[in-house]
Amino acid sequence: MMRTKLISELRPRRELASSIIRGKMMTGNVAAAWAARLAEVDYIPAYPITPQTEIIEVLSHWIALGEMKARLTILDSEHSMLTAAGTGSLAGARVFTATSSQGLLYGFEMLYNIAGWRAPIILVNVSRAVAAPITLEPDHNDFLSTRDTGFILLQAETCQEVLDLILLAYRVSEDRRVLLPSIVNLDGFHLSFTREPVKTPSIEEVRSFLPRYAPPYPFRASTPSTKGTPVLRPPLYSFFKYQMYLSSLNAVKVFKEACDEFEAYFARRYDVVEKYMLDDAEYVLVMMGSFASIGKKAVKIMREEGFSVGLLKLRMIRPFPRQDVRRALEGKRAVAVIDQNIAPGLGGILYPEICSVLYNVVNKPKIILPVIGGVGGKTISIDEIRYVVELMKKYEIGGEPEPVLLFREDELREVKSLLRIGVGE
Amino acid sequence: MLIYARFHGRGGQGVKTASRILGNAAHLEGYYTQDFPIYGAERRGAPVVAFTRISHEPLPLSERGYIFNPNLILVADESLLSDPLVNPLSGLQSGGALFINSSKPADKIRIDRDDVTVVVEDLIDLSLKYVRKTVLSTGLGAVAAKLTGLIRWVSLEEGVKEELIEIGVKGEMLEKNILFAKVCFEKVHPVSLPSPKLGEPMKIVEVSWMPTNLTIPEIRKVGNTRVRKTGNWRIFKPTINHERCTKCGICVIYCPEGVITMMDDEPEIDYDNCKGCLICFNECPVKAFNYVREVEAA
Repeated sequence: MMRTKLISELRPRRELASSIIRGKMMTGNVAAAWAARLAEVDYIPAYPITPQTEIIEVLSHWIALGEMKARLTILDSEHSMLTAAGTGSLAGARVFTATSSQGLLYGFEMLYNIAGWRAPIILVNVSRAVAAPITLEPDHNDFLSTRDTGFILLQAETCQEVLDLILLAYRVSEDRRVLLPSIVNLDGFHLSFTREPVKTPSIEEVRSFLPRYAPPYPFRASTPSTKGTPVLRPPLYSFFKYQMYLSSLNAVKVFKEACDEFEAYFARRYDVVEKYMLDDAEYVLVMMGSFASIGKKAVKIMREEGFSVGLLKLRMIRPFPRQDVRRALEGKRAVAVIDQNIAPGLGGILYPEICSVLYNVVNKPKIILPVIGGVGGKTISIDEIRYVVELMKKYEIGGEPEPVLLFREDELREVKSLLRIGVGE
Repeated sequence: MLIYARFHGRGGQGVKTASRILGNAAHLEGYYTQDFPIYGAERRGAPVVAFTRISHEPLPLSERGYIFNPNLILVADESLLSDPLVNPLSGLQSGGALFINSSKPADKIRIDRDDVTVVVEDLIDLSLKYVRKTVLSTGLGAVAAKLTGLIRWVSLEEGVKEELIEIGVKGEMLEKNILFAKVCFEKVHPVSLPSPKLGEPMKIVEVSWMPTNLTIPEIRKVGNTRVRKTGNWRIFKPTINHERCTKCGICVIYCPEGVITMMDDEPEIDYDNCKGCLICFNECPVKAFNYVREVEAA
């Protein structure tokens, strides 16, 4: 066998660095729990579901040890849990809760109510594909089903981003110009159970960045009010809903302001979108979530090979940051939207949203390619992303692209062999 | 990226904690790391995979999920080597290293690769000796850390402490585990590992419509659990002293796997499917059961 150098011979050792500077190894779930702890939430209504459970386990452990003061209550379903979350918020508490997939759908009607009540809770969703067939692996169908509820939607790519986005979400949701709840989404397994170094800010810094929640009209014995008032005249409904829409648009500006301040406190920079090797790129991949990490690696490899490729990562999904997306994509030769979700009868969910932003632009990309990949946790390999870039070039010459599923030959072979075992044909 | 380590084992053996010990030790050593387990619906004894990536480049690592092309593989349970569904050696890079926990000597284990370094140790034996348990996490993490050649004992010791304290191990048990780690760390030596590279390119194919008799998620072929032997991850094998047995049948009732049956009025164990939980040994009112470690039994 060829004698290669020991890897340890190639690299100098580093000194043990303190965990404050380099962070501590933690899962996305633990990072989410840390954010709730640092935000000093008052109330955590909970109901367990894989892969979210660890968040609640960690919080309840801290509360049992006396390290955290919040009140944690296990409800009898996600529907009750979300009802408790919204009403708790209206009563004046800072509320945190978390769910996944089927749980989110089970409590779904309450999402519209919480947003309509203008109760600024933070709900963490740990993405998991929706049954049937049942699975534990992630995609974004659960998260994106909430896109019309009125919640602010934010998606994390790394464990650090999970912690940071939750703190930012409280700032945005509780801002009087917005006053809408937020969902912070992290991908099951790829973030929820994956550990990376995460820096946890000090409680004093967080207190100063995110002061205690000052509810606009809390319940007090001296100041009674009716919440969730019925409206029996259609113009009222229309008016309130449109005001909610206008408030949601404000969240882009408020988020950007909060990001500036966040950077000043914690030295990490965020925006509603993230551009990776994008400015001079001719071909662009649009992705979101933890799989954007894989997309970035593919972009880096292809850049080294001389391809002019870049990546646009969506961090804020609602409000849809139309201006930022348009500015990032206008003038590009081709764009591929990799939807990690599937809308039967249509294709991907984000594809039409990206198209709608670019339709009225003069120098719009010649091709916008609809791609479906990573559904149900199926990995996206570098080869598949390379294939997407080839497809963009192919359609640039001519042809009308239809939604295409990223699937490898070896995967199809495995699927076919399992089908034979299952069906006995 | 320096290290792509993949751990194969069974639920309950400590594979996830081993990957975390390696990850945390490398993190404390100053590298950038990521660790990650994959298990389906959690179940003791079911195959589990865990991963550790170690890099000298700052985060984000721009990599996630399953490691298809590891340069270091650690197999906690030798029986997994022949399991076609697990296929633990898949993707191991040429020149990479393979660690196997086994009571057999290295030359008695069949490996179809001659381009990789194979290291074999009996960690169960060491674990029984130092911790008096059959959980491998600490030892396997220590072996992995040493094989990489990247991690000093100070970092590993700190990593082991942090990981075990987090899962509630303390006091004397923690001390025993640190000793177990120390013994394992000293037993093996750093191996030369190739720099990780991308695997062979894979072809992308079009998925087209297929008849619905094949594409509804249903299993219509029944009775195939019989071909799946679940007894091969047994560590202890129960045995019956038929002279002492009173044929009361309590073992039949308590066996959670239903693998003890009365044959001609005598209890008999189906060793193809017995997982070695030893509930029979614990429940037998006349102590007719005994057990031996699987290596001695084989």
